[in-house]
Amino acid sequence: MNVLIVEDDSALGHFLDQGLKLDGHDVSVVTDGEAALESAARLRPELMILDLGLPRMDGIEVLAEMQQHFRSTSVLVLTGRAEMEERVKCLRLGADDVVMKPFSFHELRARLQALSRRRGQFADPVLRFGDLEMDRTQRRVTQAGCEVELTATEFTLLESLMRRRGERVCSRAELLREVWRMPLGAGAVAARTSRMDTNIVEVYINYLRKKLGRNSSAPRDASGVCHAVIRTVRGEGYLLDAPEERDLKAGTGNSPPDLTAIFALGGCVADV
Amino acid sequence: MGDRSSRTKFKQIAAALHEMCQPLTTLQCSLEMAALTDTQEAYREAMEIGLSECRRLVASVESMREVLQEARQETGFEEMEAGG
Repeated sequence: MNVLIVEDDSALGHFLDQGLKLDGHDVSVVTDGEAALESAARLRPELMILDLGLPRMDGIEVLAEMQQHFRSTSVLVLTGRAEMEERVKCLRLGADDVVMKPFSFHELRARLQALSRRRGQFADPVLRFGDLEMDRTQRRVTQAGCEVELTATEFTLLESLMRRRGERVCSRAELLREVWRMPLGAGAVAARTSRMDTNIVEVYINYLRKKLGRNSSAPRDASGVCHAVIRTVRGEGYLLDAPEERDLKAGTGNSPPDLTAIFALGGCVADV
Repeated sequence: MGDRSSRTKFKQIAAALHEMCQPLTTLQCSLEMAALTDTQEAYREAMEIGLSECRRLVASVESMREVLQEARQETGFEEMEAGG
């Protein structure tokens, strides 16, 4: 999960960051309430871990703002205040869980897993991006209305990219973890042991590009919906993108370079 | 000890307890993290952070002691001195 930690105690923030990264989460840490809202707008995290006693803006205010503007983010509140009324207030304001300090990292981790399960349970089974539509219940993918036949691995890979909705680059390490269930750092280990393992992400991205490319010879369909494409972001990872109209005009300089050509070649433009 | 004084003491003890929660959490998480990562560097970091958090805990214990001492003097209850 993409997690934003909001904790003004730098030592505690550091250990939570370390522990959640070990579990394979993508973690960011901020230390005050205003930075929390700025980061929520920029990163669109799936989960926020929110301490209540914060400088610049109190945690309760942050929680209220989150409920108003970023409802898709689950919020787990950390509090050192013992009053039951406050815990009830947090839950009523939209917190998904409240954990009292002092707590064990193991308990926090288990609660995050439970939250993650609930998110999966109540998530919309249909993902849409550009001209792509993925029905996760029926295990069916269409592009511009045409069915795309994918293997189980290709399906999971595309799901990982679609869940980020073109808002965030998906790193190779994240894909190895999410699709191939490799622990964090497995890429580096694989790099030392097997060239085949190292290339597995690139190979499957290319398979996907070829299959999606069959339905995207034109930049957009008849109804004006942009075709979704997988972009390589050099040194960072992959991004599912649906180029805006301005990017499609020749010579604007904003366009991802020759995406149709990349598809036609079935090629990966750079190592990540 | 009057109601008002009792309420003040109660709030002071609650605040001191609240102050203890933060360093206790950091202490616990730092030790758990060292055990999870199991590296010399992690153990050294946990020890350094742990000592710093212990100092914060000692300060909170001191402030709770002061509040209890004041309460004891106001009420004259010798038995309020916990632990003997």
